[in-house]
Amino acid sequence: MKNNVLKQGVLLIFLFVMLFTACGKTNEQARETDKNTNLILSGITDSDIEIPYVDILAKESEKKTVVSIPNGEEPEQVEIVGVSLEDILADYGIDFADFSLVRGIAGDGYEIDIPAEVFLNGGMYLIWEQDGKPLEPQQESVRIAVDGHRSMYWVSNLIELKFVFGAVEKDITKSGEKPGRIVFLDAASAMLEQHDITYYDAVDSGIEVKDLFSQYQITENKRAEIMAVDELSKTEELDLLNQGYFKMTGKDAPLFMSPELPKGLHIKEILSLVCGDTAFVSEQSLFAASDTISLADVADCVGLIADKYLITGADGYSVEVEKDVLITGELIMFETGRYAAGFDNDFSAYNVKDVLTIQAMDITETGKSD
Amino acid sequence: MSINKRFAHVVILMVLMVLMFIFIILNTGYSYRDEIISMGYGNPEVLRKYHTDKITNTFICPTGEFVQIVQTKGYHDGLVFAVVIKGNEIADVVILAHNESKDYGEHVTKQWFLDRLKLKTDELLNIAILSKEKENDVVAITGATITSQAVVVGVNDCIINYRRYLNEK
Repeated sequence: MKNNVLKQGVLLIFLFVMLFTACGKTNEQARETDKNTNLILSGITDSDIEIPYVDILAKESEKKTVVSIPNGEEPEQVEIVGVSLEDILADYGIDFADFSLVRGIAGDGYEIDIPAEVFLNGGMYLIWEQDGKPLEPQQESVRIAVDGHRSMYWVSNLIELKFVFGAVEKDITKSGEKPGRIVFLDAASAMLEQHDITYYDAVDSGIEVKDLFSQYQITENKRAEIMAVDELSKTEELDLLNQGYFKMTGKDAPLFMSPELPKGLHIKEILSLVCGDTAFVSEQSLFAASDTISLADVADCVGLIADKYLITGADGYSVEVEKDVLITGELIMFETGRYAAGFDNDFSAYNVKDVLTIQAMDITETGKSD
Repeated sequence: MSINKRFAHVVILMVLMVLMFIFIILNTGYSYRDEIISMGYGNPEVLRKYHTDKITNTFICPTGEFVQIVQTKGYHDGLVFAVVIKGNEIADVVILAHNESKDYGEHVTKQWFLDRLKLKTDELLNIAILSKEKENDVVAITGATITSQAVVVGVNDCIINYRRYLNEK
């Protein structure tokens, strides 16, 4: 009887030990299962290519030092261990150079488009170690690393790479056409229907992009080239832009955003957006970059080059100015938040309140004339 | 060592393990109670009758607050929060645990978001993605609609459960 009780006691302890051991095993097995899932490569063939993460991790790895550029901070050197995406694609007979765009998609919903000029200039890697440490659990199984480019491209917890074939159609400015007009974004926005936009803890104000594009007949082009204050340059589909808003007040304004789009596709502090013959330029972003804004510099910056310009205010008042006069002009910001085109005393007759557009009247180089 | 001594050791060991197990269970149960006490609502009474698959703990506080602990899934598993209802208002929502993504769903703990949930319980809450238009709209966290939706659905479950409590009181 006593022996039986003893056996039962030992058995019970054994069961407890087994239970705890089993728990440990379960975690390990779960981790292993995660690693057994696949990275999806889409857009290459009719069906998706699925590569098990274990196969990627089993490849002969490279260890190298690359440069990452965090948003608004100095570039930093990062030591990575991983494999070149070019090598992985080569295993499937795919040439990396055939693509114009790769969209990196993370498990948490983050998505970002990586253009060819980024991934072909510097190299793109799938990494599993960074600065001598394995990726954090939430970053596993692999992370993108793009040498010499912004850290926003370093998508963690990568689950899919969506490829776009062929060269991007360069219809931003048709056949090298220079923009024929500048539309000042803040002034133009103020004339459109305003929407409350909740952005984190603030309620800001903004406009629908489609309203702006409709107002300025931006319909023929498919893409726009966007430049941000921090020199981020991005080409974006008009179809996508038309789904969203420009938040014109508060933090990160002007901000392209849409609640329907992943945050990785939002664009902060837009400086300019060039589409066809129109260049939208944000006054608030100009002043974020410099205290003094020369009108001639703004025109040069977007390639608006002419002998004569038509400057128009929000109230419809307009003046024609010669190239030599434009050089003396500045964009002036008032405390009320409104902007004007101001010229020195000799040309003060050209001053325009609430300046809305600057139009080239007689383009000297390529492009259309007015 | 005699069989008797071995037997005694095994029994003691087993008793200790059972006690430890009971201690862990009780301690887990009491942690939410402690949390509620730390929130300043006094020592609450447990109302097991109102537990559901998502609402794992319900309490009534001496000061009248009906507190429910919700366990749900945001973008990731493990989103746990307390919903405090008093009268016909959501008095407080406190995030107790989460695994939401950095710089996205992690904002679920920010007071500016939790304050958006402090609304009347006369109607269920709606998730709004851009701006608040109706009284019971809760504007989602920028870039974290799924997490925000999970919280709103959890709070709505609590409102429905609270109505049941009021009917049966």
